[in-house]
Amino acid sequence: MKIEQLKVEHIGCYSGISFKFSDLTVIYGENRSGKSTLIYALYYAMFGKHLNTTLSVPDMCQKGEKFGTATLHFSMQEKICQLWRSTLGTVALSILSEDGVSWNSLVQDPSESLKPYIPIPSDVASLTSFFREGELIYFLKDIPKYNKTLLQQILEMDDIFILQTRFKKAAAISKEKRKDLQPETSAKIPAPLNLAAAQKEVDDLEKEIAVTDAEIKSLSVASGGFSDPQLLIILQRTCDEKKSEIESIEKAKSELPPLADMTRKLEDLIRKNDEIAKSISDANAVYPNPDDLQRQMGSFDQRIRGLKSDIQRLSDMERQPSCHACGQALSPEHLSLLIAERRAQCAELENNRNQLASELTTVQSALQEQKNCKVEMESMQRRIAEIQHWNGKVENLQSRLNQAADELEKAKGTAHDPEIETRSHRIQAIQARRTDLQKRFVDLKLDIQQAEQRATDAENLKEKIRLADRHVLLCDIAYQSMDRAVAALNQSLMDKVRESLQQWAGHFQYLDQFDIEITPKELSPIIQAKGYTYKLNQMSKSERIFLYLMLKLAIGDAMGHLGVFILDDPADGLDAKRQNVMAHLLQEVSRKRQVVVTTNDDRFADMFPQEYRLNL
Amino acid sequence: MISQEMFFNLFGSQVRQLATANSVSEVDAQRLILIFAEAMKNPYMDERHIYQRLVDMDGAE
Repeated sequence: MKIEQLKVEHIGCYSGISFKFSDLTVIYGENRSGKSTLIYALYYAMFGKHLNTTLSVPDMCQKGEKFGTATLHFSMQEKICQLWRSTLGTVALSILSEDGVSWNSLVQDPSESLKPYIPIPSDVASLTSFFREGELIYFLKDIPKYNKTLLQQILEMDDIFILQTRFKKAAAISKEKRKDLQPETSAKIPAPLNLAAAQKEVDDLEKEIAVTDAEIKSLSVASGGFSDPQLLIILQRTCDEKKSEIESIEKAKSELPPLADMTRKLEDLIRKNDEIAKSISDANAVYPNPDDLQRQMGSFDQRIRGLKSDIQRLSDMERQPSCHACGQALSPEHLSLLIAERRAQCAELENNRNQLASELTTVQSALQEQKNCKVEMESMQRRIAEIQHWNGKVENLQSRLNQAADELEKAKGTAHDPEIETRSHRIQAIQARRTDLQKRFVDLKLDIQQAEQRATDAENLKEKIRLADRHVLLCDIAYQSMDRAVAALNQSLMDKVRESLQQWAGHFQYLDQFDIEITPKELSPIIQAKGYTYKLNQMSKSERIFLYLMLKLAIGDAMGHLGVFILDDPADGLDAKRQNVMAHLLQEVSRKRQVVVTTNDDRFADMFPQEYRLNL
Repeated sequence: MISQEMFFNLFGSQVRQLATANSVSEVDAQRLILIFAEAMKNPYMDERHIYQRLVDMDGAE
């Protein structure tokens, strides 16, 4: 394709402007004059995307405007095409009709492919047809590292390598998982022949047990009464147990006093209790309540204290015989009479009180005695109940012992029957055999169950291994495909780049000063000059600028390009001498490929013929 | 940046070749390619996710 014209409306700083392009177009403008915007508009017109991946399409639209448009006119195979895009996402591709006036619409739907007219993807175009600002500076500063080749560095293949490593690790995980299943494999394969034999043995055992059961049954129900020798043992054991129990009870009973003594003592206590009760009852007839006696004694004490107080007062009055209240004189005889009278009353009261106290003591001791008697009676009654309980138990045990002894005697009697004895021994032998058979039967059943479980486990494991093998295979295919794709990419690009470099080498006159060799597996440019060999990191700045431009163009040939080489300020950071090299090279490139170059450096712009210059 | 489309095509052709050589069905090969496309688009899809997606292919059958 060849770019003829670009019209931009409401994009960046451009409200409405048209640019015409020739084989070499040098766009000069100061900072913020819209050089980069122009490059972005070109890229946007072709691909509907922003060249700067950190920015979005709406960022391109002029502030205050709802949308912006870019219209690109380009020629392709002797046809003039017009590609129109708006920042709202609409697109229209038209082709100029043969009359040279009207346009025939080809594409109006954004989802339709523009591939016949824009033949390469946007990411490839970004690499091969656009030279972004600062790109050269980074290249001049850095040399390939971390095992990357120069080509891989220019192609920015880091993402691919990361993905390749992830697929490799995923394959390793699948192998680890498969390996984890390996140790279980050998241990869990059952022996099918043993299983079949065991099953047959189980069937045989089952039949044999059935036969022994029938035999035991027929022997057990045979006439002749008692047939089970085990019963003898059980009866004998029951008798022994009962005897032993009775003995232990008798021993416990012997430690208690005899029941007759206890009964006699109890009768005495009952009698004594009755007597005490009677005496208390008699006392209660006079003093129904001991508390009344207490109160009465208190009354006596009070009256005695009153009389003693009177006596004391009268004795005091003998020393000064006059009335305290009226002061009338009293005769000593009269006072002595009064004192004597009081003393007599006091003595009588004290006598009565002492009598009452004595009665109270008697009642209290009777009550205490009755209380003790009751406690003793209760204790006695408990012990009697205990003895009676033991006696009852002994009677019960004795009865059961007698019954067991009778049965034992009877069993012993029948056990001596020779026929029964023989039969009993036979039953015992068959039962022992049956027990052995049963045990063997259970063991075998268990073995069979375990074997069947192992067989199921083995089947499951087999299925798991099959799946794990499949996962390993799929992961391996994915990883190997990745590896091969990287290698194929390298190889195909390497071959094409090498071939293209040779063509470009023949094209550049500037190359006369260089002799670049490239190894088969790697783009390792070396320069032969004055008998010395220089590697990439030994090259001069001018040589590296030249090399980079050559590589960009050759990679474009290898991967596909638009036929136009668009450079955004490639002279940035270069001194005059290198700018001159750059300008010279770009003019040589423009003979094979259309070149659009922007710069804010007047000196660099002047290095190109003036007819190619376009000032912003 | 390398063309994703170009690499995707290269990967796809390699997968088909290896799938045929290992008797893996075309459907499985197609699924491998889809997982690869997913991994290319999603930078957070690490090796465990990739393994899981590859393993899950059997569950999707």
